[in-house]
Order: sequence, then C-alpha cells, then structure tokens
Amino acid sequence: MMQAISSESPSPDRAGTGALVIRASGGDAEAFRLLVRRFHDTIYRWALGSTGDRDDADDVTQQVLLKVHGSLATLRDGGNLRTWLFRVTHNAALELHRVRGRRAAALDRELLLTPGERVGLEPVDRIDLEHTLTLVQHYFEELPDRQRLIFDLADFQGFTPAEIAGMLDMEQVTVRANLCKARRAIRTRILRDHPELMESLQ
Amino acid sequence: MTECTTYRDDLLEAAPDELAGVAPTELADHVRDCRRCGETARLLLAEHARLGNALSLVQPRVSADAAADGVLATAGDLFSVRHPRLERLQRFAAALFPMAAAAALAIYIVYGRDSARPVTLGENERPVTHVRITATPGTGTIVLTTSDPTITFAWIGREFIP
Repeated sequence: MMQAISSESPSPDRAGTGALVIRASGGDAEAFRLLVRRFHDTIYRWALGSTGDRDDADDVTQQVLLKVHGSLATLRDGGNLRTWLFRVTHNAALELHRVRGRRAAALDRELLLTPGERVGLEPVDRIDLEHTLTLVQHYFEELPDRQRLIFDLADFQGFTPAEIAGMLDMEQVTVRANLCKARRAIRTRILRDHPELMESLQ
Repeated sequence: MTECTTYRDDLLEAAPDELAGVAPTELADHVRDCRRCGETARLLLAEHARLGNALSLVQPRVSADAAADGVLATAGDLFSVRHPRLERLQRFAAALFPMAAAAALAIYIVYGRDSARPVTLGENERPVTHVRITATPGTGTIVLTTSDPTITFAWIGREFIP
C-alpha cells in the first residue's frame, strides 16, 4: 500500500505534512489532530462533490479519516498524501453509492447563512439568497456525479485537467469532455434566468 | 454581430480565464472587444463566483478536532477490543496442550491398559465407557469425569501464557 506519486510538484507544506505523518504514526495524538485540521475541509469538499449529499459527505469524511489513521505507517514512507487522500475519498464515496444508491441533494437555505445572518436579512438579500440556492440546487441535482466532481475540481479548486485525469484515473480527453458538459449545463441554466442574453446565444 | 455567432456557443464551455478575457485565445479577445458577448461572459463569471462562494460555505457538520477525536477514540476502541480477543486465543492455546495430554492419559488408563493387561471385573464393576473432559480457560484446572462415578481425574497446574 505504498503511495508514491513523485511526479507531482511538491507543495510548500508537504514537508510539514510529512513530519506530522511520522509523528502521528508514532502515536502522537496532537500530530494527528493537526493533520486532520489540515485536510478535513478538503476531504469533506471532495466527498460532497462525489456524493452530492451532506450526510453522505460526513460519513465518507469520517471513513477517510479512519483510513488515514490506519494507514499512517505506510504513508510515512512517502508519496503524495493529497493525491492519496483524494483517491481514498473518491473510492469511499463510490462504495457508499453502491451500497445506498444515490440520494437526493439535501441542501437547504439554512446552509448558506449563519444564525445571525438569518435574523437580519433584508428583502433584497433574501431574493439574492433564493437565487443562489436555486443555482446550488441545480448544481447538485442536475449534474451527474462525475461531471459535478470534475467541474468542482477544475473550476473551483484549480486542478488542471491533467491532474484530474491522474486523480480519477481517466483520460484527459474524458476529463475535458465532462468539464465542458458540466459548464454548458450550468451556464445554460444561468442564462435561462436572463432571456435577453439567452436570445443572443440562440 | 455576425462574428458573435461564431463565439456564442463557445461561451457555454469556455474556461473562466477565457470568459474573463485574459486567456491568449480568440474567444478571450472577442470577449474583450464585443460589448454584448462581454456582458454575457461577465454574467457567467459572476454566477460562477456565486456558486463557488456558496459551495465554500458548505462545511462539515463536525469540526476537525471533534472528527480527529472521534477517530482516535474509535481506533482506541478497536485496539482494546482486539486485545482481549488475543488474550483469549492465547489462553485457549495454552489450555489445549495440557488438555490433550490429560485426554491421552485418560484414554490410556481407560482403554490402553486393557489391551496390555486384561482385568477381570468384579460382579458389581462395569468398564468405563466414556470420559468427559472439562477445562475452563483461566482456571488452570482440567477435570475428567468418566461413566464410572468412582473414577475422576483432575489436572491442576499453572497456565502458561506465552
């Protein structure tokens, strides 16, 4: 279970992460907490992108962290932890889908607001919020899992198609095709709310 | 405007830097130069950013520290569950050898001696027909009861735990 993906350029914090892995594998609980702090949100984001469901993303994240803890001894031998984490997350999400089947997106309006913001929201902001929620719902409900994940990785997380191809073990041309489909689907939906611009595209 | 028809469809699949007009592509050049296509591209970018911001607000319900503590606790539980099981296996293995030895001894006494030196039973005596072996791991004691209530074997010793 060696993960050696040395072709990727080293990230600035890689040395620090490697040291944390070594300390955590020796039983240092604080080092493990620091590792989790470093990757928790990223793993969750990937899990959400893969599952499209908050509850499933929570479950997958916890499974991945358990896997990390159980694999510390092998991770210390080297390799790119980030890439390994992505693969473990993606596989865990696929396995969850296989067992449970795909669930409907469970996002609600509370998700995008803190309790304080909810109280003092102006009517204009409420309209804005509704608009955002519609967009997010569309993103989760209508994009197929693979397209959504690739779109998220490419356009929001800054991975190149070549990197995504490596992460998902697929051809670059497939990544690009899925990315284009996802962009088209989302943008067509956006322009549906702006008929004057939509006309110019028809 | 005729030129726009070439690029309109491309806007739907363009990379964000093309929509922003900063990429070294024909489409980016056109977006910079064409008011209408530029307006469409800016709207798409703004909505793109809106979606990205909304997604970044979706956070795990459990904090990182709580998740880490949960994992550490679960891993600890797994270890503590595994440990007694290992101990039980060791005890069972340790009991197996003396139990087997005692059983062999009992079989020899009950059956083996008969073939070596025939015994004539008295009127009220009956041959032992079976032996029951009782060994409780952890007690260090093995008891062999026979069908003859007057014959009972006991093995008492220290259990060896490797």
